[in-house]
Amino acid sequence: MDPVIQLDKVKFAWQDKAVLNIEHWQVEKGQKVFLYGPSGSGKSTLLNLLCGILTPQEGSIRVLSQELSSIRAGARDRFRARHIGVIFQQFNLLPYLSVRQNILLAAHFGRTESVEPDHLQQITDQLQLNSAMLERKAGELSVGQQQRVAVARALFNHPEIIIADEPTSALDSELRDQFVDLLLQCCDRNQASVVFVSHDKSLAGHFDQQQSLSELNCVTKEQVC
Amino acid sequence: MLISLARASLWNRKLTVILTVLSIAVSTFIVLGVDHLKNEMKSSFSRTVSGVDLIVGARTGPTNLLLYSVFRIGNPTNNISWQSYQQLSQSPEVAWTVPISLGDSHKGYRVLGTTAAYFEHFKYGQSQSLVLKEGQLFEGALQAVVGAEVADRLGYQVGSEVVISHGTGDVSFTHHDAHPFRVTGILAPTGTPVDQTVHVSLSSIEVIHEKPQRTALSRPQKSLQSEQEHKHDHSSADTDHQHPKEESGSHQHSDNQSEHRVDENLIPDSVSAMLVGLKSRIGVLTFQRKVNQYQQEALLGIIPGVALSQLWQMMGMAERALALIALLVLVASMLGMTTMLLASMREREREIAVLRAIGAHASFVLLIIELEAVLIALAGAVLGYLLLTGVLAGLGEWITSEYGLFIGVVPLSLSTLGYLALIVSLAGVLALFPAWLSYRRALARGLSVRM
Repeated sequence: MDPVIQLDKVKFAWQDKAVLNIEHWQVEKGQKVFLYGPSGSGKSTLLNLLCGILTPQEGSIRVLSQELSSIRAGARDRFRARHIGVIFQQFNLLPYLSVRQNILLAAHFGRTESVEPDHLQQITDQLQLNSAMLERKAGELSVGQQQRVAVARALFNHPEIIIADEPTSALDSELRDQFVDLLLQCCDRNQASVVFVSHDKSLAGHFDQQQSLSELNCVTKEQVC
Repeated sequence: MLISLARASLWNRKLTVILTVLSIAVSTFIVLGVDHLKNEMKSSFSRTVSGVDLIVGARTGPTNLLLYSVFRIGNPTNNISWQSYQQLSQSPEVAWTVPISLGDSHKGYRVLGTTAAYFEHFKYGQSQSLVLKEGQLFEGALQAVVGAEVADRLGYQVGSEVVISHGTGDVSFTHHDAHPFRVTGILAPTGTPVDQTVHVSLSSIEVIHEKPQRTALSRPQKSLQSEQEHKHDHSSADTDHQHPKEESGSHQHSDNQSEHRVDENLIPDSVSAMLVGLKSRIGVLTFQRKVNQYQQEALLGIIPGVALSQLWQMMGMAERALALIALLVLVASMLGMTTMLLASMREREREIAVLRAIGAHASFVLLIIELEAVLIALAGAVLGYLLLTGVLAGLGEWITSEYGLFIGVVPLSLSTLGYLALIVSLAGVLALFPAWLSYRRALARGLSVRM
């Protein structure tokens, strides 16, 4: 079976300044990868590349066997909406929309509004969000609740891949492990592979594979060496 | 989805948005108001006189003649002699003439001395005749037909007593109180200066200006000195206006009559101006030349339509300046809106990153900012229009009574809609700038948000 994510000889530079240079990296289906990325390791660039927002100057990025640079920007946006769920460290939601509207906004871009009417209920149940919370404005929720809503939204379109960018950095330490467990459990149930980027090594134990981005990225590796 | 998202996003920033909407509403109000005022003034202007082919007065500027004969503004600088009036009236091409005599007032309203023919021939709007709302036309001396506004404001009814003052100021110290007039008729509103006029017969004007000892007053005879004062008042102190002169000795026959039995046939020796109707309008230019080259007296004939448009052109300067200011106010408020959108971009960077993450294309961001600008401008424009409509509905009467302007409700005409469309599209164009900036940023920065 093809890996869900496969990078080969990817090079990316910001205005002639090399940011990322990855020989090879891949994520298998169902795999949960902890990507250790301190700031300056090219983390944001990698995420933007994986999501198809940026395209590399050289090399190939295949997501679900789809070569991202071979399709147009609009198609990449639709591809992302449909197959990749993204969770940021904070401010995942539009604060002026209700929780329900936030989740359905993702459905709008993924063109999945009409499927399975009780799907929203299932997803929110999995993330321990009660139905009263659905009607509240996202901005009124606590950070922990907001992050759970973000997971619900990321999973709503049945994506094959979840990309989480430091989703726990705004959480208290007790909540942190709890959140990561819940996230992984839900991804398991929805058969989504996970790329979890963090600079907090203490979370690495939850994952089946660990990878340091600094080592993966030849640009930073050379600096280190 | 796009619209409800834009709405929710605007509502989230309601304070700044409402202020921006208000500023656009005010500028819309000004732009539409200025335009509407211009149109209303122009139509109110051109409807003041109709059916009159030529206005003849003593030689002066055409505008001045038009102003005092039609708009009751200013004063005649000179009069036409009765002989000239008679001669012109008897010209073969003339169908009718109406003499008008100005110079007196009643509580700030002008008094117009004329004949019954005035009500027959003077037209306004689209050849509409003057219509009596109540009572009847004056038949004899010391009877008055008042305009609708005069009756309304001063609470006059048929039978009310009216004392006419000498001169045209709001406050006059010379009252013809020996000869009170009685209101015999009230005219229906016309929306022209006729509403603000007290009409009396030409002979009444002569009667009240008769020398006191010759009109059998009920009050004691005046001393010689007071009579001289009166005379003095008429001739030199009142320099800004020329009044039809008192009868000379030839009209002694009104002596010894009681005040209600004054002679109907008192002939003035001059009138302020005359309205002329021709048998055929084709001859109007020829007749105008004839008037202007009249040998016996320096006269001026004006064609009302031509003089009106000349006067309007003069006022056009002020109107253009007003329109320019209105446009500048509009531009200022539009820049304000752009500033508001730009200022909100910082906080919206996260919003944009979220939208991008869930699969929105960068052009979605551009669209949403454009849409917000258009919604703001639309709300402002509609609010401004409603504001103007409300203000005109509420203050229309006050404007009419205070300034004599008849301002109707703003029609939802093509020109109004054009202005509204202009405002909205201007907003759309100006919003392209912040929208394009966000678009660029959305493309370049992607999911990473600067914290």
